[in-house]
Amino acid sequence: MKPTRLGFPLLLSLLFMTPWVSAWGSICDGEMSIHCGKTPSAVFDNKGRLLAVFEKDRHVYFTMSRDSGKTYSEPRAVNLAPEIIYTNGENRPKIALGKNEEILVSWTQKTAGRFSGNIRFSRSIDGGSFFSTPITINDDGLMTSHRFDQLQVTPSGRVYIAWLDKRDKLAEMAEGGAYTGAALYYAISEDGGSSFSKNLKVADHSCECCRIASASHGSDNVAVFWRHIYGLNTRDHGLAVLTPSGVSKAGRATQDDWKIDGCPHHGPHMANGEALGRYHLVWFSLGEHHKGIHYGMYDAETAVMSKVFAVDGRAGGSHPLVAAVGNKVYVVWKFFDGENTRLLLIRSIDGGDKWGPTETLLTSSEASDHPQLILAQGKVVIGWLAEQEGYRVINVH
Amino acid sequence: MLLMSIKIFRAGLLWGLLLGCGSGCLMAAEAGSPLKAFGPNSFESIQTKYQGKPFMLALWSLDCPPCFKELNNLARWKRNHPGLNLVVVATDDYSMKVEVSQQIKAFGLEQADNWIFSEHAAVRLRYNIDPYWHGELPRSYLYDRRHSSTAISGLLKDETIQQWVGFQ
Repeated sequence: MKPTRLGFPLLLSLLFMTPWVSAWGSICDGEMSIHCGKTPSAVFDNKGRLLAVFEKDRHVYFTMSRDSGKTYSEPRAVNLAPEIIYTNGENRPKIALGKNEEILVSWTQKTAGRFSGNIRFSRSIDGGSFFSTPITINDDGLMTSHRFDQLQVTPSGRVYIAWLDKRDKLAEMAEGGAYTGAALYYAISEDGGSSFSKNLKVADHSCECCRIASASHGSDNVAVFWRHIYGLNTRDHGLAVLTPSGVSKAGRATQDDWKIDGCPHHGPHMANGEALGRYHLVWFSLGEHHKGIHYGMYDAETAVMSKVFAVDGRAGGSHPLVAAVGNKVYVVWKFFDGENTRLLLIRSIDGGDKWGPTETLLTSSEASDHPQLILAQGKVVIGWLAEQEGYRVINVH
Repeated sequence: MLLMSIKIFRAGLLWGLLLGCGSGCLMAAEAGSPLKAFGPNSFESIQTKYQGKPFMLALWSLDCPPCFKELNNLARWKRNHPGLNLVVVATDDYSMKVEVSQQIKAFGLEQADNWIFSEHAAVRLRYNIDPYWHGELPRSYLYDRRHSSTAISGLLKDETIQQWVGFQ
């Protein structure tokens, strides 16, 4: 018997009513709820509260759950003045925690003109009651593309925002030249998001529409992993370490040789390995050497990739995440089988040397967002918004 | 729950309207650039419409910079070869239909058979077109008279189109 539209989520709620999964309010049941919004991101604070942002009707909203996603506080608008906000799977509002429990929020505002946007930032220093008036992080004053923001806080409390930027393309075109793709830029805050440095460039010629992955590098700096355009049109990935004085290390991390004059719309993800400068990476490619979702371990010091593992080469597999606690590594991704979308997981207990069987974490019957890793101390938690099932939070470690 | 019901009602209303006026019904999002909602059965209806004829299926989206070059090229081909059976499908959210219509008009592609993904789950519609497609854009399918097709990811080269047209 085919479950009815309303019956199916209820059935799922019952199935997943375990300590691991919260699906209480998983059906979109209110005008202003995370279940009814778009593209949520979340983080756990030091008290174990789930802090989340999502978009609805030209506002980023902040909400909090004290019971790991069963119930949520009444959402509060971060930007009081409405603005158009990018909400696709690859480009969404972000949330992170500062060292002094500042709640930091970034997003991309859509501005007039094709592909144009501004990197926006706001923060709350009172636990989410009040958010500062949003500021624009890109400092060129140009009406061009500054999009795909990524927000990362280092263990020491430095705040990094990285994004894809077309100011150099604009300059090159004004001179009658051509410029491939976009550039990767960043800015840093040394005071918990109260102010930001001038914009700094990581690299010219990034791919234009893929999310940027980031992880801390040591206590003070950040590593970014992004889809780059090598040569004429080879869209593999670069990895760079960013510091307040510029890029300290940069290399080509993936060697897939994917030549395409097009948009993969499929950005990578990364997590810290056990040793400094070693990163667990997951990415998607349809290159000569690798096709589908892959995992690999990359050393930023030597620029060497190892342990490359084919996670899922099927067309229905997409948008992988990687997380690690000690030598336990988790790769989560979406898979559409023609009927339903499943959230799949593989585990490694030896730092990515060997991988266990594929497990199904959750299922969705209709449209669903990309899954998101929710950073939490010593835990691996995934958040996933689906049209029918609402926003679900699942602990996999 | 109430809102959920409203949403289902609204979706039902939309599909009722679509079904009510049949597969040939045009969603005139903007005068001069008819745009149809691409649903689960649309691909089949497109194949039926061009039975025994070659056609090109070109997929694009608003958030794909190379797709705009593709639209420009396709518009040129359509101008120079008015008989070209060109089906253009935007994979954007249905709520973007006005913006999609504007781009079709801006590129002068009104003479093409224009569609936008309906409110059905995009992943399902993509699968419906090609279960082996990963979603990269632009994506094109060159169908011959017998409807065997060649799939191309990324910008179509003029030589590729020329070769395909030459075979017809």
